[in-house]
Amino acid sequence: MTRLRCDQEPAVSRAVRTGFWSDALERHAESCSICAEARTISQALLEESTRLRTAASPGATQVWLEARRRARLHLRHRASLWFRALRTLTCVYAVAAFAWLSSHHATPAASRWSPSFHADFASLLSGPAEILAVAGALAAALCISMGSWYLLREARQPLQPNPGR
Amino acid sequence: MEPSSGIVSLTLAAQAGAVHEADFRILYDATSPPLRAYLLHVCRRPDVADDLLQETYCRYLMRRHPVMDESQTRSWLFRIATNLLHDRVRVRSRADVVVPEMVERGVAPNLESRLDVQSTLRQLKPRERELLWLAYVEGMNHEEIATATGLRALSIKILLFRARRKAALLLAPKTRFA
Repeated sequence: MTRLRCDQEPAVSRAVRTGFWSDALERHAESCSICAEARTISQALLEESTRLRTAASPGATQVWLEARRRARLHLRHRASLWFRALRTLTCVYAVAAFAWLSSHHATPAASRWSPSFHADFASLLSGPAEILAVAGALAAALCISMGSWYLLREARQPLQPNPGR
Repeated sequence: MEPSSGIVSLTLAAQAGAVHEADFRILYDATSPPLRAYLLHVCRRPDVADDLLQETYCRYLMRRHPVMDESQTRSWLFRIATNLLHDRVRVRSRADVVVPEMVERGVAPNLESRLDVQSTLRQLKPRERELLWLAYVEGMNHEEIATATGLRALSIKILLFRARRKAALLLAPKTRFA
């Protein structure tokens, strides 16, 4: 039956890394095919590792600042969820307000095009309160749109990486 | 030991949600060279390895994790890096490229044999390279490799056996004539 591993394999690998071989381990590595393979591979990989570790890696400060920048972006993204929901509501509100206004003050042509639609909306509000209601709706739509636009524009601006401390 | 205590304090701090730059620097200095070498060995591209290294630490810092000792922290970092490598392979299944920088920096009297070994190791699949590196360079046991790769410990035994046989067969002529 083919052996998948040898108990001495980690010791052989460690000996290649540290350079310390006991006589018993040395003899074992020569007689055991698995450990001989492990020795060959460990030597090749260790050589590769030594060479690869000499290359300069990104500095800790650079990584730290990048992580902080991402953390801020993440927090900002979470905070802007409400604003994005508000924008969606604003759009719905704007469409509804436009539909109501256009039906209530519809031109004769529009009335002819959709008389039932016009009648339904016209019956909702009439009399002196009409002007006040329309003005209030317009003011509310304007305020919500401006507020949402400003906040969302701020949220979309990406944070610039901080060059210094 | 200074780096160890720094890593432990960092993992405790990470759990509490407050990591200080000084602690991070200790962890980074202790773990980034082997992690970068691992990434570079598997993906073979310094630019990609640097990107993934940065991404690994960013993810580590942005997530809350349980209290871990030094060994677990190391396995955890290798786990993140391995997942990122797999994501990268999934997105772009590019062929390995011989990177000029890697060849130039390997200048040595036995450059030819080194390049032979490099090209031999490149014939292994990324998963095989991962397993062999973790086992024979990082000295991880099967459980630690399982943690780092997300595979089952039982699978590691068989996969490592196959990878070792394949690598030994590929390396045999090279070492014989070196």
